[in-house]
Amino acid sequence: MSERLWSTLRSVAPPVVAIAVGLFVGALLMLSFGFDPVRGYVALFRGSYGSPEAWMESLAFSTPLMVTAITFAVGMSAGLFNICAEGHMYMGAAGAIAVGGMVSLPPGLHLVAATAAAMLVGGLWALPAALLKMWRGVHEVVSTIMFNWIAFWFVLYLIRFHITDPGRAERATPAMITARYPVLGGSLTGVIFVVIAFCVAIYFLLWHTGLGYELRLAGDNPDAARYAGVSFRRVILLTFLIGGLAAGLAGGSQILGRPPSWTVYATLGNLLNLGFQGIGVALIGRNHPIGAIFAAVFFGGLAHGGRFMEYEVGVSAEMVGAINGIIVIALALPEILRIVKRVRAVKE
Amino acid sequence: MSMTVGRSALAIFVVLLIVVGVGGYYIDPDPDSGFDPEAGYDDGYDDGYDDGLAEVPPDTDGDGVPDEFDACPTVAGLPEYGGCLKPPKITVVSDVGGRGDLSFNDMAFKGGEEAETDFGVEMIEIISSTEDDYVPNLRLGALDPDVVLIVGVGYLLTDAIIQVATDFPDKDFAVIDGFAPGMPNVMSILYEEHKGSAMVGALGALLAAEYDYPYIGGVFGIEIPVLWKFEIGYKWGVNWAMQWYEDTYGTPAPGIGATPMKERVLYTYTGTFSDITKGYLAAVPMYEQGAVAVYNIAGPLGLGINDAVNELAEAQGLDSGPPFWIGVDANQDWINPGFVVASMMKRVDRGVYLATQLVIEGTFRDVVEEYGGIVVLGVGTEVSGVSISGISVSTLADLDEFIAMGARAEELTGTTILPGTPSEIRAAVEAMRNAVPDWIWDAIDELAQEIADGTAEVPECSFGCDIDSYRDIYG
Amino acid sequence: MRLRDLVSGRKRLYLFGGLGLLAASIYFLWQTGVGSMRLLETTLIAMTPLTLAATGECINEKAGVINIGLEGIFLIAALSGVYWAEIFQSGVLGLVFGSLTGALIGFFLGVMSVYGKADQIIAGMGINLLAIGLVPFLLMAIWAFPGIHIFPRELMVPRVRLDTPQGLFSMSPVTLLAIGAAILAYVLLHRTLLGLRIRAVGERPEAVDVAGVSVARVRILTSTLGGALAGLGGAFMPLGWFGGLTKEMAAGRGYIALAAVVFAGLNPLLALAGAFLFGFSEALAFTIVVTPGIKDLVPFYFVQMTPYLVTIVALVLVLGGRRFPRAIGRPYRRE
Repeated sequence: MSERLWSTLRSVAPPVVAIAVGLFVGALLMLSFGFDPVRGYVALFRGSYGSPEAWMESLAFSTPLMVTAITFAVGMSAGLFNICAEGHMYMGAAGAIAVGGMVSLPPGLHLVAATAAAMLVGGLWALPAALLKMWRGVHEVVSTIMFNWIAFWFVLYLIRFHITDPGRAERATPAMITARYPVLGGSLTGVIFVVIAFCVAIYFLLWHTGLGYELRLAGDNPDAARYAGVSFRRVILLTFLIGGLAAGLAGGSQILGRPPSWTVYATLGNLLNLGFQGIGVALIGRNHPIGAIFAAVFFGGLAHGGRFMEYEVGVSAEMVGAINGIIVIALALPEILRIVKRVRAVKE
Repeated sequence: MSMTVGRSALAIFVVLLIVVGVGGYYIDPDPDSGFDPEAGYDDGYDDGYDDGLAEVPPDTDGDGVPDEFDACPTVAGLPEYGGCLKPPKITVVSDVGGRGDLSFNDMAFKGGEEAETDFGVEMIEIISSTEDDYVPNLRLGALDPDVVLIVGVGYLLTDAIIQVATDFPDKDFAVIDGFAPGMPNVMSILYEEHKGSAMVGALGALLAAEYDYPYIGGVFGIEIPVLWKFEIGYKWGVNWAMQWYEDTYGTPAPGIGATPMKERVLYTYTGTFSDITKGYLAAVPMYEQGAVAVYNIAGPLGLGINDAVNELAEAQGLDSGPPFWIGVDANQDWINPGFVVASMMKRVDRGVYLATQLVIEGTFRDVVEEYGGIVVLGVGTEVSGVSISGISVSTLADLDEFIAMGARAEELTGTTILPGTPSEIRAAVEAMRNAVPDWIWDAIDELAQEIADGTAEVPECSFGCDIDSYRDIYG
Repeated sequence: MRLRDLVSGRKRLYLFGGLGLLAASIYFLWQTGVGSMRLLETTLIAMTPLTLAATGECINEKAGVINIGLEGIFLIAALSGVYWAEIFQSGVLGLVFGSLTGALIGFFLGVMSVYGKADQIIAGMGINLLAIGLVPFLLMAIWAFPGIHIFPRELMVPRVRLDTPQGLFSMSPVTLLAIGAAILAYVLLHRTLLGLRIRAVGERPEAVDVAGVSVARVRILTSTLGGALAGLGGAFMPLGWFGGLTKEMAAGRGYIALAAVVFAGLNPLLALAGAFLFGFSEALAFTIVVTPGIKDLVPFYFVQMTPYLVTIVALVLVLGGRRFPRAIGRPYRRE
């Protein structure tokens, strides 16, 4: 077999094994509580991919995950654990509302401005953590966890006092008609094209520009990067900035591209945990921007299909969350990769 | 060596997968489920998927009706629904939270269960885990051809109901607390919570006067316009009571009467209808600062308030209030007899029952048209000439119905929920009610009368209301 | 490390400055009538799970294993604690089993990071994600109710009550245990041979390995211990505090415990102080939000934000340059 095919297969194998482990443990869980895992999974996957309508919904659930995954994936490429997607997303959503819901602009321009605002606010929110890392050496996991929670309470404050929908305190002002992406069907809107384009752009940035090469080199081989004169500060700043833009777009996509509410609730319920799920998506996508698209479709399918499992078999839909967790834990084990390598060695 | 390890690890994994796959297929964990792997897999849908079953259903007694529909429910006095080939289904889609709150959601399911018994429908519960789930969950119900009515429980589902109802014009929808006027297939069922809240607000304020407490409290859920009705009604009730006291006895009320008008109610919105810990955390400082009773306007958070009361009761060795708490939606007096002074009952169950009844009787759309899509249940209200009360303050007479609700919850969870036997609970609630002086109950009756005949007008602050202008008056 | 080193130079300025600010704000709150006995009680209760988890995490990270799955351990241990408490009809046994569950997860994480060479941060996030799905699933599968479970009140771990001149003061024995654990952990880390080994494993695993001490065993031991303490904290939430179990019970406290650890620079005594501070701000948040007059001055949201802001400020001013164990987060590979 050709080397290229093998290398693709090799990079796809660990996520596949991890998914198998996740589904297997999920099946054990169902069995141990007296549910039929076969029926459960048939309902789950038929519900998520069984019809065009199902695809629409699954893709709608996967849209924000594609970009929150980029945040983590770009960080990993540069050797940083950037888990701040959650906070950037909240801020991005607030930015989308500030422009999409509170400012009147001509159609077309409004949509572009609101999307840009979401991304910019997300990007700006990345600066403090990036600066802390650059100048004080604060570990990004610690600072981003703190900034996530600060963003959480800050956006709740904004929703309550500054971007409130008058007369409806439970949510922020919805995006105006001119700032909404066209609905393609079900809950899916045109924002998915923007999101995919963003992923592809990041792919080109990482793999086909000098800047991207520096970034990857800093992640793959810091010593070599140092010899090559790569500025680590620049890499850190760039990584955080891309992460912020991506997660901001995710927040924006939930506002400007998600019917029927077109806004954020005062519980942040329609944003909560999407950033953390992005970590799993990025890992399954092998921290590759294109891989993230496919992994997000899988995760989105789980998120949407879970309800069918509950409807038809009675397994709590939130079980798919447990499967996600197992997959991520399994992916943390590099030994999985090693087993795959050995299998390849055996084959040859 | 390492190659062998790798190979055997893979082999073990593959074998495990196969064993579990096959085992999972052939071991039927639930023999009653009728799942038979040999016969194929029937998902119960006639949706064009080939599930491997013969399309002609068996009919052993040869009466032309397939076996599975022989026991088809017939409801006396009602036309057979759609030839009654399958029991029609209703889906009840709840907000984040769902069953187990012993208030709002459980009341909706209680209504659905009563409809099951009376109309032979089958209720399916769907619980949303995030706001993004509303639309797909409602759609899930709408896609099932057997479903005749989809009920969205909670104001937050309004937008989603409007969208799905537009996509499925042939299905009937009802939304509790929602506001979707002018759609032919959506019935918005609203309640006059402000009136009931005014009554419990007056009750709390008079208790504070009687026992010399400076405040009463309120723990609210997510700040939605529906809750504004509770808030302003409650505060209005407090002021009515203070006025009444002064008019009746000629002096300002003791305790709470000395507190500035705008500070009499300690309250907060917790931003959740599901996290009981927030109910506890919010209630503790209220009792600490001298609230005689805390009104629960946040569904299950009442259980957190109850914990806060229990802690005080244990520390001080009390077996009856004060301090009290005030229940909501259901009659929650049984949850902690002696400490729940009364409950503001909002009969969500009657709303769900009514919608189901109208659909089964075939008059749903007529009624929707007649009322412009908005049906209000409240004090002395009627729908199409039939009187249905949707709001009242709990009495001893209501108790048994709701002790049964607790018993049902016990059955479902397999754990103890009722704090004693039904007769013990009754006795404790009765003793507590008797310990509260008669003049207080009389005053509440007087207010109820004034509200019913319209002499007392409780301000209603709801959709699009300028809440701040009311807060400027009432605090 | 000596106590004197702890408070030297610029750090001393910030530390005493911070403590002075804290004292002043507490005094202010007392004067405005917000502060009270109950505030202290609530603070002590709120700090208990934080202290336990933070203490465990300090030991953990000293040995070079970072466990960011504290939030997940809290949730899973809370559920397990309630489950076993109902089986045995005893709240104390519930705490024990909750702690054992945490220990199991910690052990698992330790084994994964030592033998599986797992990426600890990803594995920890995996535990958090797992808990988000597993807990609602189990709530539904075991008790047939989504999201909530209320257990009989008799299963609550009883509080100790003291008569003080200011009135009745109640306190959970677990709080004392948590404070004791923090002090013991400090002694363990800085005054015993095992503590020396733990710190050495975090700093120079290769040296420890050469000296004949098993890096693997030390790391698995500390990870298990850390998990057990976090598990105890998790089980304490339903059984010693709230009297019920919900799927969002942990409410970010696992992350606050992590913040306390960073804030303390891995010193269990400072972590105890951090946990007290964070517990205080949690207790204060709801007191502020219901008090007329004050609630308009300070938005609730900013009070909730305080622990995280304090940590960030501490990171910027004091701890940014603080060195963490050299081998933290890295699996040890024998060269």
